Amino acid sequence: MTDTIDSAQHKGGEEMEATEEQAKAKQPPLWLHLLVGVSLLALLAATAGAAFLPLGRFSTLVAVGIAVAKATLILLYFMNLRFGDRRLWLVAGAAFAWLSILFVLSMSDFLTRGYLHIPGK
Amino acid sequence: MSKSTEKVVVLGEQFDTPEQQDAASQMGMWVFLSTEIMLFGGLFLAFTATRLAFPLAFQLGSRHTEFVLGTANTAVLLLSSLTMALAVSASHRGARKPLVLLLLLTMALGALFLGIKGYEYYGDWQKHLIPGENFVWNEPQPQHAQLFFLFYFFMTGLHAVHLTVGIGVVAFVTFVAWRRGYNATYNTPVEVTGLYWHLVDLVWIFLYPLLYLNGRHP
Repeated sequence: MTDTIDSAQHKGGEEMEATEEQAKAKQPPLWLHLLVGVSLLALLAATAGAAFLPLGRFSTLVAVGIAVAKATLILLYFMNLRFGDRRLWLVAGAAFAWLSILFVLSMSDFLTRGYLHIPGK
Repeated sequence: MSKSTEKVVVLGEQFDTPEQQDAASQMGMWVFLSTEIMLFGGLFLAFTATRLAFPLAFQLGSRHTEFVLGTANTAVLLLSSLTMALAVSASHRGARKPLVLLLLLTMALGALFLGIKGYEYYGDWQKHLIPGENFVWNEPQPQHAQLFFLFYFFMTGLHAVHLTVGIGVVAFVTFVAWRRGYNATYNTPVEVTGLYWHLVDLVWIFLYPLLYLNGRHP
């Protein structure tokens, strides 16, 4: 069911310079990948260290905040949402939009149960 | 094998160009990944709701996880994501040798993660932290602490299954790359495998603080 095409027609090939076609599917440069990698490890050190600070109830907020920062870096630069096809934002965005509905509606229950003092409850 | 037949593009008949095929494949993988986000999202929600109900037991439970091993494993997985991203970049340049090496490195880091996790599970087993009859807990709320460990084993276990699948897929992609199956024009399987690998990393990024870091400050 698949055709085998000599890629010479598509100007591809081993160890070739970037062609116009490749320019469309842009990849982050090497230095940016390495910078993101170092940032991720720095954020890991930050979250591991912050866990031992007396932050009280904000401890979880800081930990999840740093996790969101790490996830954003990976989504944008490693999964290439930043430079890749814009249409992918639709699917990726939909996934996280539904996830936020799941959490916001559920938490509007679980987090507010103590607010009203209902007799007999 | 002549030079021209080494460099091939496998194009499905429903596509006009490799670029179109690449865009469709990436979107297909993202649709699958969004179902994975829903799967793990539901577990994260159940975990959060249970933790809100039994905060003390979940704090004590987290304190019984292995902080050093969990942190080291997070670093290993983050590094594997970096090598995977570099592998995808190499495949776009059509650089075969760096691609194969980076994919092998990614697999090795994934295997190292599973090794450390297995060692950790073994320690948990010896400390009688598996929920059930042999669960031993010398602190308050043993019933609710078992709930924490139920989540801990199920979520890390499901994550480990995903990582195992990931290593298998990367192994296949590495083999094809080694056989000169990809080049600068055709590298879609490397790209979508990378997306899957990063999502497995993404799940761990949230598992780590929720399971290992809660209640560390005395």
